[in-house]
Amino acid sequence: MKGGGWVVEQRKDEKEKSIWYKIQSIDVKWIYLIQMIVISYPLLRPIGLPLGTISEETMGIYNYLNNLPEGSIVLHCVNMGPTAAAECLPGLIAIVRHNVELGHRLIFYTNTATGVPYIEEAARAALGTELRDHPDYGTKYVNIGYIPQGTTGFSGFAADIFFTTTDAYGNDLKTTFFKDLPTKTAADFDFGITYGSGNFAWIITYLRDPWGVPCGGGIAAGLAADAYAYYPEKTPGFLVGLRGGAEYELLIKKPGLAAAGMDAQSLAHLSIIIMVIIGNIGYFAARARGRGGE
Amino acid sequence: MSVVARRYIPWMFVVVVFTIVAIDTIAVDETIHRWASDLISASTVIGAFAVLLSIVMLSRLHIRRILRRRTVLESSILLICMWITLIWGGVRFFIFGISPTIEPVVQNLFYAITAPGDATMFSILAFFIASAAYRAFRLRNTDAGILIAVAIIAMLAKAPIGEAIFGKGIIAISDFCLNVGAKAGRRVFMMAMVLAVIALDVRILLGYERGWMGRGAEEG
Repeated sequence: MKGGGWVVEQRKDEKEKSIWYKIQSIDVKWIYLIQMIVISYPLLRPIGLPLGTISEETMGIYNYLNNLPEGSIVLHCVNMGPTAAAECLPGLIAIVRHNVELGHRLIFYTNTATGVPYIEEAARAALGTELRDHPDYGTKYVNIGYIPQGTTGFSGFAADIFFTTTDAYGNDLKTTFFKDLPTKTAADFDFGITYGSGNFAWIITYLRDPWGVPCGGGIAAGLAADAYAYYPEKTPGFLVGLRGGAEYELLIKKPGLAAAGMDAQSLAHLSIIIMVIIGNIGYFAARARGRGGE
Repeated sequence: MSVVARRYIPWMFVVVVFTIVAIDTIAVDETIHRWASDLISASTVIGAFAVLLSIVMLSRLHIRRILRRRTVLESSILLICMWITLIWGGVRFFIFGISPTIEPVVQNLFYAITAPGDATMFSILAFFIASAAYRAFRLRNTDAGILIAVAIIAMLAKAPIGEAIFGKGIIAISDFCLNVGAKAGRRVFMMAMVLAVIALDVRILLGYERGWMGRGAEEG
């Protein structure tokens, strides 16, 4: 028994000394270090990789907004928190900038409390002033703010625009913005866009289908599969993650945060792919030599 | 409480609410629409009170913990301090009319604590994903091979480097995977989910499903 145990120990030592074993079990701290370097370096010193082809989904939402007549009402549902902001905020800013250039009337709304500051941030970036201080606030732009209870709250707002009675700053909602709307419901909106890492389906279920308002999105890349299920039948397009934001920035010719982050995303993806390949080379080589892979 | 009050009154209430809201989605009637709108408003208000109730209950628990000097007091004290700050925001809104949207204390708390903390937690995922992909993506069989191939194509296509190395072909393959494979799978999943929700709703309406009423109704 004792001898047998010694043989097993010796084989285990041999296995652990093998280069093939080592390359399939690199210590996690080295992986983290590589990731940190490949993400930070291009942010500090941009490489300037060309963005390449603009995706159909981005072109879809861009063209749809471009073709809306001046004065069209666009609802921005900023349902994002800090987790999604890195991916979705640049897209939100780019779309709001585009809307402002086209002379659209904008309504801002959120169903998460953490979305409120991002409405302000996007408006500040696009308008150059605080939203409430803008001379067109109340006529061209309005901030409904946070309505609790998610889709239930939104349903109430969609059925009656004066559902919350006041805007985010405590002003009476019956301002000039809503004065000329024929039905005072969501049916008066021309387009709705949801942003964030929540699901995409909600805006189709609660705005597009019951009220006939075309909808798009600026969603986190991890949730893109959700949105593709509705594309192109129920949505003209949407921005997928940071890349979608970068594409939109290039379309409106105002490169910003998203375009700057594309190099980091490229290198991060490439490093993950290289690590997967290295791990598999080690696995196959170890298996071919009869030492077994992890 | 009698069985009628415990079981049938909540059930009847659900049936009435469901019927009104369902009719409102398929019929155009001003009265029904007004009723449905009022019910939705009521549910939002009830939701807000539920949050208030949970704050009161949790505060009681943590204040009791502080008074009894239990272990890990720091987190309880921190929680109460945070709530006092939020209550301060509420007081400023109700007395001085300063909306929490522009309330500097609330804003500073968000930008100084919530945003960096939340963003850090999420960005750590990039490191975990890299480590997990390196360890778990092993080409052990055909299924794993397909998974690895699609993952690599999607990662390359969603960053400019993919097109820079492999040209537009990588975008076309990725679009095919998303527009055909992923879309079909996702639609099946979504339809199944919707049908399951409808089945559950029907069970609730017929009174077969009583778990949502709590234990009392089940026992009755």
